[in-house]
Amino acid sequence: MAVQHHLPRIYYLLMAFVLSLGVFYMYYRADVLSEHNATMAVLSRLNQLNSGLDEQVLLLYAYRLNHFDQIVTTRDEIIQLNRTLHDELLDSYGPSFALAAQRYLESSSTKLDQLERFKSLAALSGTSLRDLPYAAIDFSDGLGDPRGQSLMALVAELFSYSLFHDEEVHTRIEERITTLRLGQWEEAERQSLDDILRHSRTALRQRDDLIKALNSYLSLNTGDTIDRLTEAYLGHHAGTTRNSQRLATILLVVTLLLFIGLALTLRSLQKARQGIEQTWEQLSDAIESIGEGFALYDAHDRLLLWNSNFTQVYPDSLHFPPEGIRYRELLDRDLHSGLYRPDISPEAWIELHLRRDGHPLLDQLRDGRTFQVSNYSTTEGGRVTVMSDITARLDVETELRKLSRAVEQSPVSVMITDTDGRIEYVNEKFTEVTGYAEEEVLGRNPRVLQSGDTPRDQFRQMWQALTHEGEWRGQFHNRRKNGELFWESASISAIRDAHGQITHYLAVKEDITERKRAEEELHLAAVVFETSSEGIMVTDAGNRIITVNPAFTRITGYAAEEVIGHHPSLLKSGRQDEGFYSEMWQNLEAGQRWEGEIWNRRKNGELFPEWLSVASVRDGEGQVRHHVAVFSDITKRKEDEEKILWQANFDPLTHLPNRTLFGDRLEQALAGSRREHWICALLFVDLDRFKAVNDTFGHPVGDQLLVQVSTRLRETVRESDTVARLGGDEFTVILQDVSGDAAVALVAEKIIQRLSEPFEIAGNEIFIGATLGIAVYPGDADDAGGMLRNADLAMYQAKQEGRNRYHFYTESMNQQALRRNRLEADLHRALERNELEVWYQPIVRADDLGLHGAEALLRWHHPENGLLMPGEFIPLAEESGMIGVIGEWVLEQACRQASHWQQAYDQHLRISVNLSTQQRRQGLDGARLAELLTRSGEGASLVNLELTEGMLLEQSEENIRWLESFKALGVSLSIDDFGTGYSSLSYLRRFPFDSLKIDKSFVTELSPTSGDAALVQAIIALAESFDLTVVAEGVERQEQLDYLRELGCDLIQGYLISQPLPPREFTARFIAHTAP
Amino acid sequence: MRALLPLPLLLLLGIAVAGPHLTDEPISPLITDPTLDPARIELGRRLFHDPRLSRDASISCAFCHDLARGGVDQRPVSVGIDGRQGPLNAPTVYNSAYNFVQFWDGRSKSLEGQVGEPIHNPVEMDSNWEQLLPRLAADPDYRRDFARYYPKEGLSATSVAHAIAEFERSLITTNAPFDRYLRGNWDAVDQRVLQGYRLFKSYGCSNCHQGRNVGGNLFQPMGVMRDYFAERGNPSNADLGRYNVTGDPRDLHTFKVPSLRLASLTPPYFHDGSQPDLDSAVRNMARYQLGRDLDADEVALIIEFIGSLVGQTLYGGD
Repeated sequence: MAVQHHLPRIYYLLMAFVLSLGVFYMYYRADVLSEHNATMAVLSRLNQLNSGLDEQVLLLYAYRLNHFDQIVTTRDEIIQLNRTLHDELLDSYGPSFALAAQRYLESSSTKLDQLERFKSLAALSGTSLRDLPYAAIDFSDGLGDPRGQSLMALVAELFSYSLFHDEEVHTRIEERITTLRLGQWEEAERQSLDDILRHSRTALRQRDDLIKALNSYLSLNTGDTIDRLTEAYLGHHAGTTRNSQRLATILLVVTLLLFIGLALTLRSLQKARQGIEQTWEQLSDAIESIGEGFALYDAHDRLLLWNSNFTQVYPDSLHFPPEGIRYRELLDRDLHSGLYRPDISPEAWIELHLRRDGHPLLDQLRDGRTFQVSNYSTTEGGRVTVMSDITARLDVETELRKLSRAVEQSPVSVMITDTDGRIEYVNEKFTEVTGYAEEEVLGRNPRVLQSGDTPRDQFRQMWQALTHEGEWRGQFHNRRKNGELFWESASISAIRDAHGQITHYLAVKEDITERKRAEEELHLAAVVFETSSEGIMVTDAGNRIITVNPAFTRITGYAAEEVIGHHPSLLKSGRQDEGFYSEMWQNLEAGQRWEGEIWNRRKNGELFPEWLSVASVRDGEGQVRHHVAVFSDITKRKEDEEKILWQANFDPLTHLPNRTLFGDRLEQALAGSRREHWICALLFVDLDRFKAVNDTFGHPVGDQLLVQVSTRLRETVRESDTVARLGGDEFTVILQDVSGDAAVALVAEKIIQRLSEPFEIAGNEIFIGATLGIAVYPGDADDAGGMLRNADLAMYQAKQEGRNRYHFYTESMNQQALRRNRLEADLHRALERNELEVWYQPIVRADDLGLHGAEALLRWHHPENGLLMPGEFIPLAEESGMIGVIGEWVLEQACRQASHWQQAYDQHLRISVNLSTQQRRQGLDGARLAELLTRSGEGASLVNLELTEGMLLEQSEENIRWLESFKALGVSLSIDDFGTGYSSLSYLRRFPFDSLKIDKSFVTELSPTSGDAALVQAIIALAESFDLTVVAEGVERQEQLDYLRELGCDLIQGYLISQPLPPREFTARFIAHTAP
Repeated sequence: MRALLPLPLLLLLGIAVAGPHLTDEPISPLITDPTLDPARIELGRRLFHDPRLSRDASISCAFCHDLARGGVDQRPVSVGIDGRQGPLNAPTVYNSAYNFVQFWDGRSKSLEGQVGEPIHNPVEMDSNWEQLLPRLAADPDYRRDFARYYPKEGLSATSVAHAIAEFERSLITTNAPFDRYLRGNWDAVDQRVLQGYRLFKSYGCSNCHQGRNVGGNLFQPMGVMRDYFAERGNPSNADLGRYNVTGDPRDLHTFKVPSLRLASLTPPYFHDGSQPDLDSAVRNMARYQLGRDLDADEVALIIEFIGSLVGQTLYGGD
């Protein structure tokens, strides 16, 4: 057997060798393949670059290249690849490749040299051609005679020659040069002419040189050398491939042969071993099957073979001596160990045993067994000993008596049936367990106990085991007499007679129902505890940790031995206050389980959120024995939820809302607008020239640009507005609660202006722009989809009209925006074009209607729209910031007018001028007004400033100082539109006003019976108490005047007296005729 | 002022009458290379300013290529170690990455290859790698940084040259007024610059001074229409130009066309530093290369155009 193992070892070695060869081959192939790809890439790139260079040269020849950067780039790459070819590839693919490569490199090097020469010549020739016509015109302009024409003809022919190579033209040009040189010229002309002619000759020569250089360049045929190089490489590669394929085939064949050889050898070995084993087994079986002890000795009386029955003779059979012991030694041992015949001497006993006559001898063991021993001689001169134990036979009767007593009193059930399964005997325990009395079951089949739950297969196996092995152990699910089910562990064995025939079956059974149930439950609980992914912690009544499971360790980082015996508070994070825990304990003590999210601290100090569920375990008396806490780590879930939420809603590049979130926001904005009757606008922003930026500077710069664009967009709108990126260079802006389309247009303009400013990225200054489409709710669409579609449509409309502009979806809004734009532009010029004019409405005393002053009112003579009222353009002026200039202009005009009336007519009229909130922001204050007054030569006493209540909402010190700065000049102040705004008595006290103006809305409805009468009366009373003069404006009817007089109003203004009038008319009607 | 050409002749020349468009113009804007390694640039910057590169540790690269003075020394010819004088005018180190070869005669094809030359040149730094590398290696900062940023080569001639070249590649003067004009910012330059540019093209200057670097991408003979060297006199070996490299008689007096990007900042001019100011440089270029005499107005306009080519840098000057 030993030799059999060596042979395959050689085969294994061989196979390992072949396998490693195979693996090596695979790697080699992969290597060769990637190298092949790399080399082919170099060769094909060279070919490409070579053609590219030729193309550039031809473009250059045709004067179609403006610069050489592209050529230089191509050249640099060729040089680099040539270096790679020379340094890395030249010697790698055999001599023919090396030769071809050498040829190519020489050709390429020559070509690159010629390229430089060609570039020089092309630049030279181009320079001459470029300048020559100008030089000729400069010169011939001064001549204006046929000589000039002849010079121009020369230039024209030079150009013709440069485009179409024609020898005849060449000759003609030379003739023309000669003719011109020999012509009649003045000395001054001669100098310039010579320059031009030299220039022409040079241009002609340079063009010829260029053609020569091109021909020489083109004749190089570097392309062919690349082709031949590629062929040489492919030839070599094919050879390599063939070789490696041949190697692969050989490897395959060798491997196959080895495998076949191995299989054959293994098979023959197997056969031989099987033969030997069979013989051996047969002999062993034969001896083993003998019922008596058997031993075989060789001719020298040495032990050769024995069976197990033989060894059983010896009480310490484990230490039975190995084969080869002599029979005589064995006998000595026997004597020693206790085999004896008390009736004869040891010598005689040995003598008897050494005989081989087959005479049976009786030997008795100290342990009480009795053997019958016979010795026979074999044909080879050896010995056969046969020993049979006859103790049993002797003892059987005694034993039986003892056993039956034991069975009767056994704590387990015992049942004996005959071979047909009829019950012959049951013990007391049996009747106790099953509930059947002895007489009820005797003679019956044990099937009466069957519950029907035990599968058929189990019975079949049981019978098979009993028949073959004589014994079966297993469990039954049986039924007691009272119908109750129970588990029984049974050991059934066949009882055989002396002939080995089965005569009875003995079943010994135990009721294990209780045990089984407890075991199962324990097992289940243990598995759950160990494998649960949730951490489990059990504490005792004193809240000390008794045990934790592996998931606990995994989550908290604490090993079991670190926490057992400790209080669970070592996990406390401190994030929950004591109240939280005491509430939890109250719950638990009330017998409820507690469940919730809680922050704990891991061993490494890290805080983590967990979902915790705690329950108390109580004993029979209701005392709490344990607390069981089960928790899961929800850190990752929480993080994932947040991350997924973010990713689903935001653009990762710009961190702006993405299309999804934008959709939600738009829906919300529309819903809000519906509810609150707001106006909501959607601006669709598309960047202009973004693709060009990407192409020129690359995507990283493009991405940077998008980020900067998003920042600018965010800065342009309010915090509450939404800026989103829909993808690519498309952005959207949602404006909620806007005052109207004018405000929307203003935002659109701001966006366009901001995005048109240069961007600075990686040191490059980049210019883009933006085109906007606008949809407005309500009006343009009712739902988000419609809004987006219409804004997009409007954006395309804007694109079609040219970039860097915006377009409303609704035509009328668009018109309005356009009109507004035009109006704004017009307003910018209105001052220069003298289109603005200040008109005056008289303010008279209520009692005698004598002229007291006038209110200055602005009018705009628009060249197309006619006369415009302030309401039509003042808001625009305020938005565009022009109010500052216009307001000051009005003030100055009013001052000049007042001054004029005073000087020309000696009329001391106080002129009221309206102030706008914006003007204050534009820097109008006392100092500025003082300048204006000085400039117009006017005293402050002629000026009254009118402010609306809205401007005085904020009763700040600043406001008061501002008003007092005017007051300090001697200017008077009045409150306009009194009663319409946020009237508050306190500002009347705090601010230094001189008069107040009752709003015309109160005056219009004025009659002794109307409600307004009481109001006006109250206002007048109020004014008196604050010592303010009262002006009523909008007085149109006599009865209003009468009533106002009655109420004690001081001054009157309105159509009843006069409309606002241009200065000239005002002067004519109110000043000139009253003048002294 | 030059007269307008008749329209048919304009068409024959194919001159575009429309405004500039990036690809149609002979000059295109300079752009930076975002792939450069900032750590190696910084290392190169230190080497560039390190006098230990010269034999007696007296001059650094920056000695002749002063980054605050347009990347040159503004001398006719440069002064090296011990006050020795070289034969040529130092070209600017700015935008040298966009030169197709280095040196007036183009003897070096790459920036890396260029680095070794002044180090070895006896009238410049007069040193060598054997002397220089141990000296640099004695500096623990260099040892640490080369180990970190050149883990393969460590401190070697290759890595030193590469670091300096990498630094030089970062010296790009971007956002020149004219570049901003080319990119669509019409207000970046005034009308005089545009007039100068028109002259620059029509005189054919832009046939050689073109591309990103407004030159630096081809060779040209000096003195096409008149013999510059005969008229100047006092010939030197350096005047032979590219002939010194190739030995080809056709390359006699041929030089790399220099970039005009920083010309306004880098007097004097020509390879021999013979022109003290731009006025004489422009005038003499027209005279020797075109055979033309320009009037003073035209020269002034062209100089204004050249002034608009100056961009911004990170290192001093502008």
